[in-house]
Amino acid sequence: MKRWLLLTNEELKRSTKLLVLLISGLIVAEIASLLYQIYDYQSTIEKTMRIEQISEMDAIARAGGALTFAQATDFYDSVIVLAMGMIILFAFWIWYRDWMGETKYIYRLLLLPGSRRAIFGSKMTALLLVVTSLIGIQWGLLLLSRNLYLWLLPDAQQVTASINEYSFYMNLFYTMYPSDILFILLMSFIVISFVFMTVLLERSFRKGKAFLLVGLHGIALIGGYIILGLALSAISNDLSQLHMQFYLGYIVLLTLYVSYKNLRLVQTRLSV
Amino acid sequence: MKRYRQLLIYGVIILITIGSYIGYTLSIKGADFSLETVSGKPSQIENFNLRLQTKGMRSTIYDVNAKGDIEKQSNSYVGQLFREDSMTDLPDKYYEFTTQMETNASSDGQSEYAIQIKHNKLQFKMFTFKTEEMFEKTFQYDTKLETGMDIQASVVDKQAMKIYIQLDRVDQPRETKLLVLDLTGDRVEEIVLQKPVAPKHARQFLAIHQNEVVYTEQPSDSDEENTKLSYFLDDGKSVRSIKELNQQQIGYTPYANGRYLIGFRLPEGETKRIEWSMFDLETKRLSEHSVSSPLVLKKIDWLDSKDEMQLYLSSETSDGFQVSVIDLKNEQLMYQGEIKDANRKKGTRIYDFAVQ
Repeated sequence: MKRWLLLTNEELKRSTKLLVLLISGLIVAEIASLLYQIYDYQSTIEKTMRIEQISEMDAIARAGGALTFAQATDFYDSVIVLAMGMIILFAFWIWYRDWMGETKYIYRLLLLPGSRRAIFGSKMTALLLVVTSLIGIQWGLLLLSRNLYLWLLPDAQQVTASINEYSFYMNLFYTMYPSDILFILLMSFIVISFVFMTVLLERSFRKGKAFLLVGLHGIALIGGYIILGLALSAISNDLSQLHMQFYLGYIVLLTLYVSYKNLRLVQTRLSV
Repeated sequence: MKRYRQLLIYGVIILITIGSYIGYTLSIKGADFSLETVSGKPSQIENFNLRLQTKGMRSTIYDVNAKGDIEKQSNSYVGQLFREDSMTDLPDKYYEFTTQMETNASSDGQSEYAIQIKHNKLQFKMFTFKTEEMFEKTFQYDTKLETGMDIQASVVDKQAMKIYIQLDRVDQPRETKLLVLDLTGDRVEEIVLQKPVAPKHARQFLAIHQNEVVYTEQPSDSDEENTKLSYFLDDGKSVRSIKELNQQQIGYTPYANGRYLIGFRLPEGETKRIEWSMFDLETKRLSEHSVSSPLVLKKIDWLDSKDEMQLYLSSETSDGFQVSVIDLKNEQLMYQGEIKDANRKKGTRIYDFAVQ
């Protein structure tokens, strides 16, 4: 337990620069896009008023109505997709960086006394902590953006709607059911497990075999979806829900297997 | 402590931000519905299901039934994954048939019908919700059609073992036909009408009572909702326009095996009364009826009727929603119940209403 906590702390410490860069980039990009949207909308309204000599109300009507919060935060979706991509890259990088550089950090890691499970656990924990804090920080940003939106725009140009009237990805993450955060973390765990498996197989076997094994797992993932769909369509026509239940169960079992395999690889196969 | 500094920083960030999110979600108040009987007894009516949806943050669906049970559906991911739908599943065989491109499906609330016509055959399947039984039969029907794609067939009415079907050719709008399937036999009969469809008009069959057929005609190119419908009555020998119905701007539905045509409306300026015009095909007379409601009725567009001469209706009231059951024969309010939200959430609306 202590080893795991210490190693997790170490993983986070070694990623601090990158993560600070990522998070501040995210914040700057979102706030800048919000300010731009608000400024752009306001200047359009002012220009229309000046050139066409009409009232503010008419100019707003001509612009297709007041600026909604969803429109003002239009760019946030792209930032979130980008952040999700970064997390996946980070999941690769958290392993590969140990082999790179002059110091060969992996030597020290693998030669540490005690079980190697802690090495695997610490990397997974570090990633999940990053995912959770990103979800949290994005929520904070959303509250901040909301206040900026209400404060900067004149009353006539804003729409009084609830905060969850936002974009597709925002709705995916902030469903207003706190338990859903755990569900999202479970999904993250599944994705990260598969990324870790790819890295560990690549490091443990020769290229050809590693490629084959990764391919087989990919086929199991997609094939399971198709086979379950076909098998279930023979039983019931109310497919969508039953199919998702079975497929989620299948994925969870597959992830358990992959996690076991990952631990075995770290403990027995992985070498410097 | 210093050895765990990074962990602590992350812990604090997560605690504050996710904590604020959880606090925010906890501050969202759900609806607190309860059903109160205003008039009549719930035991005398059939069970209904009123589905309400709240608006705004964490929009939720609530199901209210006649006993006053209130069921809340969670929209969380896990909730959605394991949500039970009270809807009856269609049998696979029926479902497969009804989802084919060449099949025409129609429904009257009590049963679902699926019809496919091609190669001199008419395939008919029917699923009744209450009994959960499926009926199927293939009839001989002379048609040159090679595919069922150019045809639209919908069930107009079901009376005992007879099914009345409106048949339209997509490419020939004036070729509207009325067919009768005798479920005990294997022939398809066509009811020949005395008047062809007027040029540039579309015909819609409404009711069949004994040997009389009531249908409407309206200009086929008009998009306006207020287009006037012309009502006709064909008794097999002659056809006449039903002037009494032409004058009214309400839609009529058949009741009691097509004997009555009834159209409902809320009188202007009055909110505690519902009126209906009833055309009796036996006496050929139009009569006016009404019933007063203890509760204020707003925006009625949720009607259902399982029993032949009973109307189930749901609407908004000043303080929430109501469900009323009206005995159309005796002009009497059998039941009225009001659903109120103790938390008075704004923007809640009726999502669905059905008699079970």
